[in-house]
Amino acid sequence: MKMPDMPDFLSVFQNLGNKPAEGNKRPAAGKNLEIHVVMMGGRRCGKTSVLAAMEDCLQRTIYKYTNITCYSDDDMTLQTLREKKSEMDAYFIDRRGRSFHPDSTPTSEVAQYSFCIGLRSPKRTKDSGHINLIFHDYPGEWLLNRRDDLKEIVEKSRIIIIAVDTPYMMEEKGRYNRHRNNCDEISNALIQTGFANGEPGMILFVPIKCEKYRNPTGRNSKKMLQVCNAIKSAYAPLLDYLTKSSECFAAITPVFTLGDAVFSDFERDENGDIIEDKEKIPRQANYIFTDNAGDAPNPQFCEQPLFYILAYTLAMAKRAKEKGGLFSGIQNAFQENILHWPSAEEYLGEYQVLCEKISETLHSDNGYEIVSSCNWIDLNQKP
Amino acid sequence: MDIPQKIDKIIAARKKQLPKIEASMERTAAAKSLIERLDRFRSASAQDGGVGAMMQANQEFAEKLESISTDKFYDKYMRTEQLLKDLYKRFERDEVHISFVGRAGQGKSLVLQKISGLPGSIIPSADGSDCTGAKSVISNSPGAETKAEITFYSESEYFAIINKYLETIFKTATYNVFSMEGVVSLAQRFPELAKQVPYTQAVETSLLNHLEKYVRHAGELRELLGRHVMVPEAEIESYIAQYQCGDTSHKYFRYLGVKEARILASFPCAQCGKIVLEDTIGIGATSLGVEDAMLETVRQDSDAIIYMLRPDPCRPRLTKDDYTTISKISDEVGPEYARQMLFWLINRVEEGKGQNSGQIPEIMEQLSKQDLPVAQCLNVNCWRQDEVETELLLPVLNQMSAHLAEIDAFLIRRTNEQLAELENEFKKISSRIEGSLRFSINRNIQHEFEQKYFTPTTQHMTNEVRELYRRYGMECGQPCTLLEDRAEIKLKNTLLCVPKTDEIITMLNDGMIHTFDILETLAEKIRVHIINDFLDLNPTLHEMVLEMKRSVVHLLAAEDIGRLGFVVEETDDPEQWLDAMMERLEDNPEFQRIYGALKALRAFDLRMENFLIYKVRICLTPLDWSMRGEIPTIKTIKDNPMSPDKPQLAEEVRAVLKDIVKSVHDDIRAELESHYVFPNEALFAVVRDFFDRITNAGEAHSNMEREWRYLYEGLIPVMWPEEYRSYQKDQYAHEEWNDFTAGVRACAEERYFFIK
Ligand SMILES: Nc1nc2c(ncn2[C@@H]2O[C@H](COP(=O)(O)OP(=O)(O)OP(=O)(O)O)[C@@H](O)[C@H]2O)c(=O)[nH]1
Ligand SMILES: [Mg+2]
Repeated sequence: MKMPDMPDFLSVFQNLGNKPAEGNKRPAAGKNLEIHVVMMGGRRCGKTSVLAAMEDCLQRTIYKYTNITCYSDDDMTLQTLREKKSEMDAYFIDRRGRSFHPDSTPTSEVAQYSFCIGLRSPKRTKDSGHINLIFHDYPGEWLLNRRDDLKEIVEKSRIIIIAVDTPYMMEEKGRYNRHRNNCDEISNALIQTGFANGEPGMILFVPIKCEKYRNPTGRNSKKMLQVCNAIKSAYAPLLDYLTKSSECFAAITPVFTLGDAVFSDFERDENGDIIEDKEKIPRQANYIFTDNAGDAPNPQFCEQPLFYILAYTLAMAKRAKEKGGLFSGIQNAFQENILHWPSAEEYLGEYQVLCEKISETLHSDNGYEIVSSCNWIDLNQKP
Repeated sequence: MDIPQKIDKIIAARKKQLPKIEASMERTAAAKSLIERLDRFRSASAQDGGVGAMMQANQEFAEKLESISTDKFYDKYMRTEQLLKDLYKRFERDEVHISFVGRAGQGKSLVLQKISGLPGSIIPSADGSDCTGAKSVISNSPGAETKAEITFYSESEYFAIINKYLETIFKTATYNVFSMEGVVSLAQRFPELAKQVPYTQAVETSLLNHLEKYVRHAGELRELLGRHVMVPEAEIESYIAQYQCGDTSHKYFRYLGVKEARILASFPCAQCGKIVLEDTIGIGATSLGVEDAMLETVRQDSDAIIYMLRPDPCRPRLTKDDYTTISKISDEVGPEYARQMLFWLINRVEEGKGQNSGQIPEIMEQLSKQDLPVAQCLNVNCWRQDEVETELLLPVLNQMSAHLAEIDAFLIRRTNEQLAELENEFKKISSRIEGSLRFSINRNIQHEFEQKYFTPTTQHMTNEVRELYRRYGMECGQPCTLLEDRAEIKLKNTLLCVPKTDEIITMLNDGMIHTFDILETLAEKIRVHIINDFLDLNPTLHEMVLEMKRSVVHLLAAEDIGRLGFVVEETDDPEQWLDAMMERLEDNPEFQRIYGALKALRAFDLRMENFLIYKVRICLTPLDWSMRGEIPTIKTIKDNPMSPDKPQLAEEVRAVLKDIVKSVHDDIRAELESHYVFPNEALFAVVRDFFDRITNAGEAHSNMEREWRYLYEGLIPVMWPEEYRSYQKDQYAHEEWNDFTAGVRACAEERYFFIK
């Protein structure tokens, strides 16, 4: 892969912030560096839920393994995400029968959730800048009817998280995938904006609701591998574009937000036909609690996408530091932002930790796979 | 429906069978005359012309025809002819018949009196001696005056009776008579003849007495022989009894000439309906042919048979004779029939001479312990009219009205079995005739036809078969969409077979509350249901096989291709065609390779059991707790093992089963996916194999060619009749032979002789 030249690298950091067009100049000293992340995915496939699950595990995992701090100072952000989280908890707490079907309020407007990334360090001062992670969560419908708005968001973003409603992709020979997960629309949107064309970017495919395909034994084993393959084939044009003409790292990073509830079937009528809505998508997906389900979800791997995102930022920082002396142009941006931090060395030290944590899970048996690798980041699939 | 109505219905149903029986009789007779015709060909000489001359001129052909054996056919024919006649007679009747059988003096006439309401003068009954003179039948005609229709023997029948006595007594035919004059002169010589029989020969002496009556009264009977008369009640006795009621010194003789007396009377019991009572002459009587006559009556004229026994108070045991008679009857009508329609009537005498009521319980006990070929054993005091009605008549009538229809069906079936054997014999002959066909054709003609007709025909046909397997070959490797579509429906059905919540609640209410019970019961039901449903794909597979066979058969049979349709007409059922064709070739060693090819094709079938169903079965493992090693946890029961909430439990069980069934469904679908190519591969393989077999059969090409040549040679007159005619010098022989073989072919059709 072609590494970006340094001027490009500078622009990376410029672009990490808001676009100049929007009036934001280069970030000032000690000010926050903004990194935009877009949630993509079809309607109701679980974009907001992925965010909520990641937020939920922040405390438990990031702090446990790293010295990175990550918090949201925006109460509204937390409010919405925690509501989403408790919607999912409710399936367990209020459980009546053995099965349930998710049914909730859709996201109605684009929402922004921002998190400050910092470092627990004695050297850290109040003035130390943060990296500001800003997640954009838009309603799934936008993919179909508000492409321009969506395009705008994508253009300023360096990281894309694509939520995949896995049962719709895997069941019934995948015939509902197109309409549910809108893979083609997503691919097109990204290709058309020229995402990560010459600038390092990251795409995370996040299959969710995929508990059913995890660790089955016997004839069902290796199902997560099939999930990966299905994603690779559904997004083949995008992956093709990424490997050919972009600086984009891409990986499949499934999360198991409920843990002990697995997909069972799509609701059928008395003739045995799947009941479909007017878009020809199954009206209702039924989930069933496993034998040992408790009274709360048992999430797993939810921190992984976050690790990848953090790794991205640190990789960028590391890169900037290594090349820092050579190009005067980036000094400003870098010194005044990340490397200026008192704890910059330590901060970068965390990069190693993250990469290790990521590697632990990075097995195709788990459904984890790097589908487009880049040498600006130290992540590689184990053989 | 009361008994008379039921009986009417049975009689009406029987009449409907008559034309079918007639048709069968005609067809068997036609077959027989064909075989006779064959025999005539074989015994004809060159001068007679026709086929006989053809045989004279053609050594090989003659040998072929002469080696055909027809004895077994005739043998079978005699048997089936008799069966058909008996059946016809039975079904033709306007009433149902009850026959009374038994040794003399068991009370038969007494019972007949009680049932018919007729006096002893018409139905004579006296102890100890043979009283019933002529065979009489008593017919119920409600409301009518009592009268009798008397049928006398013809003269020749009468002479035959006399001659039988003569031959039996004197062991020679020299005294036989053939005219009235002969009888008269025999009467004159009688005292002299009688002297030849020493009085120590008891049987002969007794027969001599009978004979004397026939001879002595012949003159007086002369007038009556061969006639039919209607006789009023008062005179009936004098026609059928041996002596007057109450005055044994007043002898009658007219009974000697009576062949049958049909007495019409209005029976007192209202439930009787259209029935006829048949009296038979007591077995053991000294007259000749009594037992044969009895058995013939039993076989031909009886619907129900009542074997009557009045146990002797001094020897209250069942004797060997009783069993012998029962088993003779059973042999005559068949044990299946006897078990429905043969009754063993024990005449219980309550008082007076011959009182035996004390011994009856023991006898009934003895009877009940044995597995006799009888419908029922009846214990009746025959002296009492009411008991005869309730204990004898009604049980018998009930049994008849309930079971005669099925017995009739049984008799038809039994006759058809015999007809099948006849068919078999006929087919053996017909296939030998087929085998001789090609020898009937002149060598030069054969050669010419080979060049002109059958070599091109064989070539064309085999080419077409090649084309066909190529077409199947193109499908090879493609999944069979028909099977896939049908299987898709079955797959959908699997999802539907999980019971609804309320059905499960019903089961729970029936007491099934343990997790294992309910899950096991339901899982088993679902497993069986799924397997059965998938087995139901067999017709789909079979239809594909039939389609393939139909294509092949068409190539063999079509007029413009293989032309074998001239031999066996092409129908919609290719397997029937193959069977018929194979039957023709079966016994002929000349066509064993062609036969083998047809047989392999015919035998092929695609069944779920051959492949797919086991795949389906394996996928059911998740529904098989014993194979899974664990049974799903049901939370509702776990939380409250003693009294789980039933609706909740039902809902949970359904959810768990539904989930498992869904994954079973997915597994089956994935499993079957790779097997949908199988049918097309198999069909291709079979047609390909058929081609190999009909072209070289894995051997030298010439062997196969020879078989086809022989086959077509024999078929020249059938396949190319016009062309062949023009080659014939002896038109007559040719026509005759063609006509004969066409007739044989028509009769050799499957089930041709059957009553159907
Ligand atoms: N069973 C199950 N349901 C889930 C999971 N994650 C999310 N859901 C449910 O899926 C539904 C859709 O989730 P959202 O997160 O609202 O989906 P979205 O993509 O944000 O939808 P829009 O914003 O309307 O486009 C909700 O009812 C969630 O409760 C999961 O892991 N398992
Ligand atoms: Mg949303």
